[in-house]
Amino acid sequence: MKIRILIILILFIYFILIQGIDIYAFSSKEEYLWIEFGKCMREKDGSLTLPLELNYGRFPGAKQGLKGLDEVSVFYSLSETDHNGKPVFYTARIQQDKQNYSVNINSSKQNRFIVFAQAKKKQNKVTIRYLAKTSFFLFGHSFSKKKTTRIILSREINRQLEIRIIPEFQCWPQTGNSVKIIPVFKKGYLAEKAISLFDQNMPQVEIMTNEKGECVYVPREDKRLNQKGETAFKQAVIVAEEDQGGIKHISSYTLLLHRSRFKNYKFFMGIAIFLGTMAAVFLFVIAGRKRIKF
Amino acid sequence: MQLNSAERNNSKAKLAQKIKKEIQEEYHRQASFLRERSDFCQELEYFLEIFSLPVSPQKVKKRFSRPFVGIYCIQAPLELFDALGFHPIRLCSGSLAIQRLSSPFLPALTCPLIKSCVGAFYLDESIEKLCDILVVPTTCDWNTKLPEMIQDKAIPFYIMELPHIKESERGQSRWLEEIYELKRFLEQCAGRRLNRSQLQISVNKYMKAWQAFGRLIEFRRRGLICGTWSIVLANAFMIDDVESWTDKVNIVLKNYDKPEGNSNPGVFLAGSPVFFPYLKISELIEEAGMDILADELCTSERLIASVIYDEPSEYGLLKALSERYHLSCSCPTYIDNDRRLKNILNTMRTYNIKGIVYHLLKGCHPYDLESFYFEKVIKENGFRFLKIETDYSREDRQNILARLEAFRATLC
Amino acid sequence: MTKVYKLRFLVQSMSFAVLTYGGRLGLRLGHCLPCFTCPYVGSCSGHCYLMALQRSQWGFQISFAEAISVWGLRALGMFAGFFLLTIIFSKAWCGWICPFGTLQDWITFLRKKLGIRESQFSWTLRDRLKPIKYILLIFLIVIPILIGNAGLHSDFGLPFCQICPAKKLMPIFAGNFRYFAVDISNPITAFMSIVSLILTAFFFVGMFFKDRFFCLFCPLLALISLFEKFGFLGLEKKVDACTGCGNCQRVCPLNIREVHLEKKKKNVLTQDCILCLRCVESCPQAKVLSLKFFKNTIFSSSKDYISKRFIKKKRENLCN
Repeated sequence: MKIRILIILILFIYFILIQGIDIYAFSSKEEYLWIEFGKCMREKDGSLTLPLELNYGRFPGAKQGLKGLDEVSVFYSLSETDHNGKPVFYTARIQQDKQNYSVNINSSKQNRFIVFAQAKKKQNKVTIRYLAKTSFFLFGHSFSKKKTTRIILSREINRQLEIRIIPEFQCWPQTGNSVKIIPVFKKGYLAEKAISLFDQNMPQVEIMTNEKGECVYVPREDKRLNQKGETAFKQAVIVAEEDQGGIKHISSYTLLLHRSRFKNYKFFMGIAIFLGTMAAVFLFVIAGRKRIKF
Repeated sequence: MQLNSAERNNSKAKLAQKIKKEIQEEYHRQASFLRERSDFCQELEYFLEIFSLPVSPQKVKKRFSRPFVGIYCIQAPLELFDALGFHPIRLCSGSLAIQRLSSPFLPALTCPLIKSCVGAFYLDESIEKLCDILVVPTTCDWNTKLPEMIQDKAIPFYIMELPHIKESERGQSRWLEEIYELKRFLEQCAGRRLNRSQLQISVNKYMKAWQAFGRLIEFRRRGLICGTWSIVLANAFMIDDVESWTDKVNIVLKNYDKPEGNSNPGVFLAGSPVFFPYLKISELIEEAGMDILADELCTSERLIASVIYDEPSEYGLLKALSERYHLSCSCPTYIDNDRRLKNILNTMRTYNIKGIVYHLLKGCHPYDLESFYFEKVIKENGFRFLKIETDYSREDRQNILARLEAFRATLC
Repeated sequence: MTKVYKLRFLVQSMSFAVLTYGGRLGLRLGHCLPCFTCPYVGSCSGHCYLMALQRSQWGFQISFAEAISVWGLRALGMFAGFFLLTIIFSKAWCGWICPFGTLQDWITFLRKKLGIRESQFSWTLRDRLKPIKYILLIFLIVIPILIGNAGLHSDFGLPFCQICPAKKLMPIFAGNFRYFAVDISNPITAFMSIVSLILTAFFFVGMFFKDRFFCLFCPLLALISLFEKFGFLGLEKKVDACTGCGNCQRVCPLNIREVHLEKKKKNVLTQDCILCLRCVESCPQAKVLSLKFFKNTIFSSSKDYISKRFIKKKRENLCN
């Protein structure tokens, strides 16, 4: 109990004194649309349902609902392609519960999903196009052969500004593992572009892409996440924007992060404990043998 | 007075001389009796020669170069002696003549085997007197009291206290402690420490003897070699060097390797030990027209057991030894000995033996006590049972023969 | 006649290689193997059932609501696989296949080479150790249930795997020393990893001084022994012919006394038995101990076998 209090105290001091200044340092930025992960649910038939929440505003605190946004739509791909080699997209139905808009993604077997949400907003003669993206695995295990009916998206998707993450699909995305972020605009790369990163537990960060149009981001160790279980995760939203005079593109990508698996492993400490105990047990056995008669 | 005592001494010496001659005659007679048997072959001569040794100790000294350790009963670990450079000899005696030397000092109803053993100390020279150490495990009361009976002879006795309950942790660990203590004692006597690999070599030697002995038993069960010869061969093991004994047994067995053996009705011989030259009981059983297909005498089939060790450490080896000489021994002096009867019944069933001859030496209490219960159980299991109580004397031969012949009739 | 201990050594070594490195060749033997083929070994070809048992996908870390659904069925299916494998080979999994058992046998082999004696347990201590494996088994079922239903911290997940010495020792064979570290992510992980390191050190030394030391506590052995009466393999004793020489008790790596002391029952496959057949090998009485597959005798004790197994022809071979 004391250790816990001590850790909370240290965290408290850490957040208040050192990190406190940085919070909302770049709050002058535009608001954006993002996808937020909910808690994955197991269905009776063995499939998995992942609720994804659509949010507008600023992650994580400032949610505004989808008021004032037009043409909100969500679509996803299962990383399968049609005969032209283009990915097939399906439309997802948006469910509204008061102020909350969400989409349920269901998977009856193992699938890789890329989900997009898009919306439009007109503001002072400027059209702002929002795009939110995320990608994830779902390991459903349904026995039923029944195929989920999916509605194929017929129209072209407007994804002029898109954030790509490499690797796009990670088995276990975790803090401490580097990810490459590449903002793509009209299939071209954006060099020296500022990208904002809104972490659930961390202050906002600004990163610049290099001349090749990519940047490497290493999610920092998160004490608050570490306190939770191994399967617990947090989210970070990566936001990029491009002003084209009249049309403004603001895109986001929601990155799922678990706590680092091995970065907290203290090898020498462990080996010391191991060898120390070994020596102690060894001596104990030897001493025990000295005492017996035969 | 002095003259008188000298005279007395003189007459004593004369008597001893006379008895010594009688003993030699007794051994010789028995050996030649065996030689005259129809199933005698030249290879067996070696074993008869072994039995000329107890009566001429000088030959023993010449034959085996190592210092001797005399052992009463089969619980002392032979391998341990062998590994430390001693020649172990099991001191049993089947001599009748020798009893005349000891009977004045012993109760009338003493076990004949003990009488003969004690008598050997009154000879001016005997194997017993050649031994550097005499190891006595405390099995039956006779054996336990043996060192006391001859304490005036100043013999270097070493007594091993035998725990009479085998299947308990206490019993087993106490016996292991005895083995360790014996090891320490022998190390002192030998002036060197026990070598682990030396002990392994010894164990292997005795395992080879066990293997040969196993073949002998198998031959006997099939009726290829008769009971008397197997007893003689086993008796010889108690005196002889283990390696040459093994070789000779293997040679003998080669000679007896025939497809088919005798087909007389088989009997099981149980009870008190039989030792050369006292082979009366086995000879009479065969004379009555029966084969001793199996026995459980401590001078015959129970003599050699296998020592199996998994741990080549000194502790592992000594533990294996201690258990082989304790757990796998079925001496009637143990309290938890219920397996013995079961094993006898099982052997009889397996080899289709219909009857059991329970041999009892007068005064051998542990076997005597057991015989009543054995009789009951064996008869309940549908087998014939004949108890024969006798001693080393030859007078009751006809009487026993008649009883055995009648017993044979019930087996057919 | 093949010598059983040589055959066993061969089978053990081969299964060690297959289970530890088979994954590199693409071999996948499933997640329900009844032996310690540790999933933390990167190149393993099959997984220990204990892990599946503790997991949420195939085991007990599942809420009661989820249990009555396909998810419960999946756990049941995994158990069915385990059950089938268990009844086919019974305890031979422990004595012949388990890589962790093989590792222990190798360590014992080394000790014997060095001529260091084995530690002995008193009969009472040996008997007191018996329930520990069942207690561990209960814990490794109850803790996942508590995580799934009572909101216990999920860092207690896979409780047995966390403290299992195989998790630390087996990955060494795949060049992975990572699990010797203390995980300082949070107090729970730190506590669990320190406990596991202490236990691993304890068992590692124990394994050196005692044959199959870990098997005395193995919850998988306990789980297998729950179903051993359905098993196809059996160890039978002809009680009437047993002379009680005690060889079986002495050579037994788990110091089982029952085989020696049994005087009535035919079946001597006891809860701790790992079917290593050392007792059958060392029994000098013909057909007293025998290994049965259904009613058929596969291997039984005999004098001939002992002669071949234990008597060395040459002197040099003795000093090993």
